[in-house]
Amino acid sequence: MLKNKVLIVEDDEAIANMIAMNLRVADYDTTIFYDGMAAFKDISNNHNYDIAILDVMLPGLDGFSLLPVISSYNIPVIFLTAKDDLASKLQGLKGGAEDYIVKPFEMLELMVRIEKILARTNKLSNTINILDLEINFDEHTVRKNGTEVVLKPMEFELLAVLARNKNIAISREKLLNMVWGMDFVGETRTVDVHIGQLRKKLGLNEHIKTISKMGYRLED
Amino acid sequence: MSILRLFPKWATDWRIKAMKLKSKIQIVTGLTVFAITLVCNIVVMYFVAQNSIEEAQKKSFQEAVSCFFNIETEINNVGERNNDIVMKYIFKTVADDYLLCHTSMQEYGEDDFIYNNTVLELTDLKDKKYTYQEYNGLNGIQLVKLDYGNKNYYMYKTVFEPDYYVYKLVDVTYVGDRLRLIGIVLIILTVAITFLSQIIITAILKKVLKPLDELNKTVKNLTLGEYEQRIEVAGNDEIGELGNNFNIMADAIWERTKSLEESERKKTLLIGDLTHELKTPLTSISGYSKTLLTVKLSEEDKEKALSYIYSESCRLERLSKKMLSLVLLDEEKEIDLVETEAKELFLRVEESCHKLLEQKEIELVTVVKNEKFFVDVDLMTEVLINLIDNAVKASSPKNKIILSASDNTIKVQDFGIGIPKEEQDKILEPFYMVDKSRSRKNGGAGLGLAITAMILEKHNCTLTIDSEEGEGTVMNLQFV
Repeated sequence: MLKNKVLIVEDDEAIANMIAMNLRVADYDTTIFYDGMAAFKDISNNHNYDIAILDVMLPGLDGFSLLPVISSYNIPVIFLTAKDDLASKLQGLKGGAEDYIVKPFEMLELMVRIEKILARTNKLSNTINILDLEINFDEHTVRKNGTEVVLKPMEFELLAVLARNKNIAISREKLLNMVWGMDFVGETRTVDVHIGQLRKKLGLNEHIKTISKMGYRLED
Repeated sequence: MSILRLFPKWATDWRIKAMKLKSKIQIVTGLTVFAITLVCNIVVMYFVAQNSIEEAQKKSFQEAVSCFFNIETEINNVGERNNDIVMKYIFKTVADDYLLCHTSMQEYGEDDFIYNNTVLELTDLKDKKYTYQEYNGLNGIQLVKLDYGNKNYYMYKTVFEPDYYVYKLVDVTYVGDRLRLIGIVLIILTVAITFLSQIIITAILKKVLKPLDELNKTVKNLTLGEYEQRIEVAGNDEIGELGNNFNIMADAIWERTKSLEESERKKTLLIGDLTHELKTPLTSISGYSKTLLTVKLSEEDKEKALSYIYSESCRLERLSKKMLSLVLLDEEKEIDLVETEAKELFLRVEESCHKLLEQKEIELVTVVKNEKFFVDVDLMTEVLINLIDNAVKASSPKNKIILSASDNTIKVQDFGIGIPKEEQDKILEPFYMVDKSRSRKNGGAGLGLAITAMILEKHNCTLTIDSEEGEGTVMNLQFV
């Protein structure tokens, strides 16, 4: 399975590395540039990226100027910036960016948005192999060691979210929202029940970990 | 307000509503002029009256005396006294309508009149209080005032031997008439003077109070926020001076307001910038902690995340320290200036900058003789370190930085990238960075020059920047 490649152009070293660190854990390949001009020079040689995350205020060449260059290689762009004024947002989105995220941001949110954009542009692989499982998103099937395990629709969706963001803990509330599309805080029992089902049906007792206060995490 | 409360409500209302300065002056001057004119006229009237009456008395007395002498002469010519017929004859020849004569006072009766052309009767003559006049001729002359109809008379009385009582009436009505006329004229004059004075006062007040009215209007407009409005000053009297001073005050207020607005604007900007500057390290810190908490990381990544959290916290700490020193400097009104050798100052700076310079292998050249400056040593060292720090950031490795002192001036010169012309004014503002990311990577928060500017302000020292892009920068500290 091919890993998705992410281009990160962000002048703040700490933030760039934090994004890269999280993406790597979830099986992405990352390339970081701290300078707009360096990214500009490099992209003509190597434009094999599935998505780009750009800061706006960059040394050398700013994000708005970099956008058309990157877009010309059919790479979708997400702006990630401290500039939260409407004019900048409009400039970014009208210029062809897929999304515009204002700092400070939630890492999980960034990852979900990356995932959505990759799905829309058909760059997301339709199967995920994790542990002894093969998850097929087209067929909505899960095979354990080649044998299909029957899951209810919501159980499958829950597994999909956990697998896409593997090694990252997701809170019950977040899962409820991402899988069921609900925001009821009191309903988190549902999540626990479904997690229990997944653990039992797929033998994931060891791998779906309960992280105290942080939620559930599927580890490989 | 409290003073006005002492008066009943209607009184204060009346005072406020009715008593404008103009009306006050009008009423006071009107009453004063009227009173003074009236008193003057009464005094004039008194003396005129006295004089007229005296004159009339004298004149009438002389008339009476000459009349009596005529009769005396006639009697002497005839040479016969004590004969009623002769007396009647004599009176007829004298033929004075205002002359009366009767015989014995004891025998009252119509027939007793020797001569009478008047309507007076004997009863009108008796029981009067006659006063003796100072006169030594004849048999003495007595006087009584007599009013008849609307006429006034002086009646003089004398006695001819043996018992002829002769009365002479002199009409003095003209005196009263004249006095009445003068009185009327004086009253008219009083009213006229009062009226005229009012017209003049009103005209003067109008001219004098017009600038006050305008002043009032302008003050009202000023209160409503039209700080640019000024008074047109006419003349250099007290009101002109007031207008002038008012304009000066308005200027001062305007300037003060502007500078307050400006400092308020700067503060708002500072807070905005601060928030912005805090956002980046905070994003990293919260992001990394969340990552540590939720993500299954390798040991290596865990360490990396922790070291980022630490370094970003240090960045926050530096930022807060610099912010604090900005605030403290702002609050501190005066600083102690001590005469200090430039050599000593430079030595301290060199010591502090040693590590900084070593990193980029930059040489710091100091040019100093025996110059002395009045400075707060700690703060000025801070300034120079800041400037050298900036110079180091702008310089390429192995460049030179020159720190020199001459009369009243300290210079920090580098041969680095320089500052673009349009940026030179702004670099003294907090958080301003010519090249944002480069400065950040060098650990700056953009507060250094703002603190420098503030310290220099406390020293009454001006900072000027000579810079060419690509050639380098000279920072001049000009002491007063």
